[in-house]
Amino acid sequence: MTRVLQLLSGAGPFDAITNQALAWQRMLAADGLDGEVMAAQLDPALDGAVRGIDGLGRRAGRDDLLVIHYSAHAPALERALELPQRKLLVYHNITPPHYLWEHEPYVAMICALGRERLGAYAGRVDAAVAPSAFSARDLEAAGFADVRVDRRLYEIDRGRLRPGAQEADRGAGPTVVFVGRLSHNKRQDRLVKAFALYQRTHAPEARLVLPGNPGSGTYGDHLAALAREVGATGVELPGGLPQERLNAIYAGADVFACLSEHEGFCIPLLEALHFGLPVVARRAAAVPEVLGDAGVLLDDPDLATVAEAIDLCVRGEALRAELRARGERRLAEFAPERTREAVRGAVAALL
Amino acid sequence: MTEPRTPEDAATEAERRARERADPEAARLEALGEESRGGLSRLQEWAPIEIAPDTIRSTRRGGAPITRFKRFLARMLLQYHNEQNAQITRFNLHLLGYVAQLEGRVAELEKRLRDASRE
Repeated sequence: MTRVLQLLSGAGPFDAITNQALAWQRMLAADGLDGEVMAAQLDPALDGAVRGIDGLGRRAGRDDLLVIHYSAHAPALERALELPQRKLLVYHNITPPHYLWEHEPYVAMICALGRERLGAYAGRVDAAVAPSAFSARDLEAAGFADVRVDRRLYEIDRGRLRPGAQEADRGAGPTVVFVGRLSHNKRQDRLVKAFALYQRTHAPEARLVLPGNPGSGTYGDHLAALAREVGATGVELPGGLPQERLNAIYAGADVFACLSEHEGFCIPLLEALHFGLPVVARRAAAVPEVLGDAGVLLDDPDLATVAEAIDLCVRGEALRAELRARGERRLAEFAPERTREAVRGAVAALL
Repeated sequence: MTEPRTPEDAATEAERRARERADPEAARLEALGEESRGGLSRLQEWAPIEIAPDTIRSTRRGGAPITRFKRFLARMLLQYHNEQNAQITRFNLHLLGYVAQLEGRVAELEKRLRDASRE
């Protein structure tokens, strides 16, 4: 019986790709396709849902399908190319290393190698799919032909996005939030500075909440020091959080602000729309593809423009209502049945 | 302008208000903390390999005993790690010296070229 074996370079409890691979596993199981999720590197904090990739060659049956989730270099993934099974490459994008050398040299190294080795996969997988045209361009540049783009590959499970037992986490003034790994490509540093300006000009009681895994790097320390240096108060860096806690933060926030310069997709944008939050975002990478017309998109914005856009979103009732309506329409395009159809479509062609 | 009702108008209005306000603090913050992403001085900073012991830690919940154990192991292997770091640092510094020398030669050649083209 055919199984779908999903292979990751690394897996962790707050890692978006790990969670999506597990979501694919559930969706495919509902269609009668069993499988496993395996990773070359396992965060010890994982609860056993993901296995190590060692012994893949022995464990994989002749008719199994290998789904390679590519987001960083791992020699074990490249070795999987030697196996006779059919293979689907899902390219989640890789952060350009120049963002990472300063604060996360190890991650920078595997990203640099990952981008460099992407070409080795071209012609050795049976199909390749990317969740954004932005990411597909990397694949085409690396020599892939017939790259499929499907923006519905990621599960946005709205049932999971309920505040639950925890009450909305509100501050005394407006709350600005961005959710994402603490990483220089996401430019939380620029957000801290824009927030300092917003706080000084418009809302002294405002706070900025930046949930996100700090990884092994020093960017989180840099952000904390920067907040002190620019005189911003109420900047919270709570680290990676379980979903229920995140939901409470979304539910109590007033604006979601994303100044990322490099995103292969950015699921938190859609989570923010679910909570009816107005989104202010830099028009960069895959952000406009995900957000569509449901957010305030700024072209290469200076800090002052970001601060003013945040203020307009906090205070403009009519603007907020329009953004909520557009957000709901946008979310309908990522409905779970559409994701199931997209995942089934990506996999079925190779079964 | 009245309060914007659409995100497109809001983007335009935000830019207009920022221009109008022309806050000198905005310019100060723009310049603050921007890291240069390269250059010889950055390489010089990175060349000597020194790993701070507090970067060794467990990511598990309640992982304090594992963190202590890992740091204990690192202390036990200090001699080996020092030797390894010294060899990597030696290579890095020599390579850096060579690159700096080449950079100086390129700058000198560029200067001569400019001087020659002026004559």
